[in-house]
Amino acid sequence: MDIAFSRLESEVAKFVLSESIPAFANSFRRTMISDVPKLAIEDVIIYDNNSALFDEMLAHRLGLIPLKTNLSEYKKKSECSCGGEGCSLCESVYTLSAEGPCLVKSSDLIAQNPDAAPVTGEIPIVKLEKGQKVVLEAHAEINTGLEHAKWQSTLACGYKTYPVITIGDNCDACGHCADECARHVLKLAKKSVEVIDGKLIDCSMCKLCEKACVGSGWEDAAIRISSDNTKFVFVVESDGSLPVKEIMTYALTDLKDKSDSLVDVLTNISGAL
Amino acid sequence: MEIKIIELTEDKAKLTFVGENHTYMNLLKEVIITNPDVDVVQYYSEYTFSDPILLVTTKNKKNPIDIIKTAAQQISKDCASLLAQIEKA
Amino acid sequence: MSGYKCARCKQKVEIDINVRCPYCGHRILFKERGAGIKTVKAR
Repeated sequence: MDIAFSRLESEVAKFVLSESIPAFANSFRRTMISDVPKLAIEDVIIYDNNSALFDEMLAHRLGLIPLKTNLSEYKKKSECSCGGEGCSLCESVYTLSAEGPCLVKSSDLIAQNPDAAPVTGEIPIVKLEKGQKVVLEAHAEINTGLEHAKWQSTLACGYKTYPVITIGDNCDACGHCADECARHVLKLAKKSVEVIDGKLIDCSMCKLCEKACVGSGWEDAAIRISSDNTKFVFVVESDGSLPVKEIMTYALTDLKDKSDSLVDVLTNISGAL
Repeated sequence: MEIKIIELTEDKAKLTFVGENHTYMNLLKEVIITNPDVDVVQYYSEYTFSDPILLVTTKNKKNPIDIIKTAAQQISKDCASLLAQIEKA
Repeated sequence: MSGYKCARCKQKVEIDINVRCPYCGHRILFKERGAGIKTVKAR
């Protein structure tokens, strides 16, 4: 299996996974979405809240704020030595106190550990009128997207199969398909249409070009869109809590560890027989 | 990973994978099925969120456990090669 | 028991038999938030 990055930044990655199978691509995607842990607010202790939002609504909004996560610093609460009570190894504590009139933003959420602060300070939480007040304490913990979407570290995470465009000999270079293409993948050359260099990956496989080709009088379309089932174009976007590279590495390590432990277990079984 | 054996004969294995879901089971099934010694492979969950059960039967009395093991090793190898490539990128 | 507040004259009101402000006679009262600390799950 090969991986070729066309873009790799801290929050976005685009790459092509080749010599693979659809099941692997899907497993990889599902693992990145649901099995990569991150920090999110889980318990909210409300001392005072006379804002327009109910306590539950306010807590829900706090839970969805992405927090910078250092996975080596925090453990999952269920696996912590404190036994799920909550200690500095498995919990990050935040305080918020605000008095109206103001717009409470995520920057008002003061983290005890500055390394676990909200990713951006610009997320609005609640708007306070004069005399309204919010005082609360929030406890964030590590968990995975399988438990709740607030622990999902990817925003856009998906793939498509690699498009294959075949242009037959019966192409008469009428150019209808190139006009129809919404992604501007095709161009008109001398004898037939051609795929513009480097644009093939943009093809969304909508098959409008095939339709245009049939519409221009050919019984059988000269242009055919199919997909390569061994190559996958991935887009992975992080919410900022973890760098994309770490999300991908964690997901692959998770799959690898599962396989390795399965091998161990099976070796024990066949040894016991 | 925790496994419970439901049925195990020389050419048939029925195993419960505790705590797993489609994420890993589908991949494992697809890798096992590429093995020419395999007759039938499928996984199913009795109820939507119950533990999946993997059924493998083989041709010519090949050991099904070895076949699952080879598939798991294959997945592990693929992940390791991808990890090495990501590390370099 | 938590107190109430009259919607018109904003005075603190205790409810005994009638739901009515004893100061201005208004019949709409707001329930005040209790002083207790509340813990909720962020889900």
